[in-house]
Amino acid sequence: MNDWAKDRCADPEPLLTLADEYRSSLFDPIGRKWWGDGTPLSKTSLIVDEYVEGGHGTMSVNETDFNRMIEEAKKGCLVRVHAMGDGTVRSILDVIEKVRTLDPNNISQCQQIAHCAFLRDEDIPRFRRLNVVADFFTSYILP
Amino acid sequence: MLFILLAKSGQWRYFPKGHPNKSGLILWSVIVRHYSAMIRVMVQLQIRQCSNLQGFTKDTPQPAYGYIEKDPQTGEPTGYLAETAQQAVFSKIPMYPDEVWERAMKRAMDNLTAWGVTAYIDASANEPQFRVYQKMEREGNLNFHISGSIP
Repeated sequence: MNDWAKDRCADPEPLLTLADEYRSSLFDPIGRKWWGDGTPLSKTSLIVDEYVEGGHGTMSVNETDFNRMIEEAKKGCLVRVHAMGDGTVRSILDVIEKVRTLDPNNISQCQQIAHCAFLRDEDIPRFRRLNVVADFFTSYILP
Repeated sequence: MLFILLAKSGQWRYFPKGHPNKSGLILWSVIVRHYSAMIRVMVQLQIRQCSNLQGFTKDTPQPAYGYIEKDPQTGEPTGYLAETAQQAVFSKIPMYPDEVWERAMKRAMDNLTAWGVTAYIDASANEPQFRVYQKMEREGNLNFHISGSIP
């Protein structure tokens, strides 16, 4: 888990163990929320091209997190990732591609990337192919 | 008393340098939280005298995946905290009681019902929300299908 998720959830692991207890016909805590990056505003989103001021920014997940996403997806957990930068989106799509390759039957599990503020043209078809919802959220851009 | 204000992108322009810092805020107990990227992410946050409150000094190293803005002249933190740097502040703020969560969630649900929404994804559900969902369902007041995500 990213550190800054802790403002909402001091320790997510007990929540995971509680998920079955709280699961009902109306509420299904089946997803795992990841903060894949921050925002371009503070250059904490990974961008394929450089920012105007230079640099590519950064992601807030690493290889360990990617492996955990894959492991949890294999168990049926839905991967839901905040990703603003096109570089971050691409990396998460790579992770989901790996999930699909390891278990082609997993394709029915619809994964989700939230915001997608920047996308590379070549990555757009991958959403459909990998059954990933691009959960656009544009209102933050508007004044 | 702690006040948390939300500011949308366009509202940041009323502050010097395009975002608030501790010199631009009157009350030490005011946090201005940027509305961008969902309020759940809380991307940028200011707190006056955060250096006194949270131990930030000019020698505080930059956190991984976060940013503490420092005055280029003095090197002192300005109060502008981005991403993981917010955690030192938010970890000190207690969680709202369940009644507050329930009131807020019901208000949001009323809006969704008015829009004809019958199912939604709770992208980042916390423990109080778990309890509220369960309570509402037991009372027969939960009128949605919800797919939750755990942070």
